[in-house]
Amino acid sequence: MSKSDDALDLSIEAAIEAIEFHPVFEEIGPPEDSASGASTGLDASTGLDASSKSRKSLRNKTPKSRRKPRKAVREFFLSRAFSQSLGVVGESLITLGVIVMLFLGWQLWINDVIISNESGAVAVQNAEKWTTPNATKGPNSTSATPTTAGPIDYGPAPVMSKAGADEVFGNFYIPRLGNDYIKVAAEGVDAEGTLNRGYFGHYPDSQEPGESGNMAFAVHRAGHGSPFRAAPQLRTGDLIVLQTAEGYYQYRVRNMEYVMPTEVSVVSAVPGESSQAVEGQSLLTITTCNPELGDNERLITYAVFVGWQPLDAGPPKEIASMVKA
Amino acid sequence: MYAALWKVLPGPRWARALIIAGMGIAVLAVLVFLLFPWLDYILTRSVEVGP
Repeated sequence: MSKSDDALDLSIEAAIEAIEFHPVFEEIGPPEDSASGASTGLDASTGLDASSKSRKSLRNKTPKSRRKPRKAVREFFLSRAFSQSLGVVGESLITLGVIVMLFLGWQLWINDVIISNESGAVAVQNAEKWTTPNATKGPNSTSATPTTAGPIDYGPAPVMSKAGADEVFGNFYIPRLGNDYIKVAAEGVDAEGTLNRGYFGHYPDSQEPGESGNMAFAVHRAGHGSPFRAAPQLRTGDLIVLQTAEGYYQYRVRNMEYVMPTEVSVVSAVPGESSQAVEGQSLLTITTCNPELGDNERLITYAVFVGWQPLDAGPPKEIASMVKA
Repeated sequence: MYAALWKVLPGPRWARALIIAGMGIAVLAVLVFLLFPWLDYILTRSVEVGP
């Protein structure tokens, strides 16, 4: 047995003794010879601490029948099996704590970087696929109807056909959140199929791009690439562009609100009053978690459709530098 | 527990360190590629609005 084991045994023995002879755990009353020093705590004849004297007398007066179980308890606590079991439990708890910390590090940092890079690569591939090489001239587009002044009217926005489950169908560009902010839009809000890949997941029952009503998306705030971590930076009037195989659908942020997770009306065709939506309007609604590292609430962003332009007209000038040709 | 592992491993100190490093890498690989994704999957499921 090592020195540290000896020290541990001694300290455990001292603790057991202190418990055994503590007045609270004793059923028998204080010894008669300590009565005279009870008021001061010192024995009148010897000047010793009355409690230490009473412990000795208690030890002598304790019946053998009561001392045997205590001895067994003491031997159990002092046994090698007990100390080894305690060590295994302690080391297991430390191991569990390390695994939990590793998991948090993986989820919030390592996996975040991996997913962000993967979804970023998919977004760039989409942009390359959908961007026409000669399409930055805008007004020269054949589908445009030139007007004497103001923005070009490309007619009503085409309604995109419904994509298959988990199918990637677009790219989101939000200049306010950075010149490299390009995120993938996919069909469905399944965790494995879309959201955990860092994509904006389109609620299947909500409207399609170009359709009047509410086109709603869900996206992770933190973790899984943290695609919408910077959501609170958005301001009224900020541009959000959805690029699809049809063209560029442009929306302007109108307002944001915090709701409870059960407030499912935010993704309905005409959301509640706080969305300021009216019948027949084309809305974009994005739901994400709030607070950043929790999910007690949802942060809702409402944006209004302001126009569209076909792919061969090139990207809107606000995102021209973001779109990879 | 960990001290016992060190004692039962064979070979000189450098060989035991190598074996433990290999075991650590294997354990980390299992955590990162199997356990953590599974935990992540069961922890992030939601039936309410939003992610």
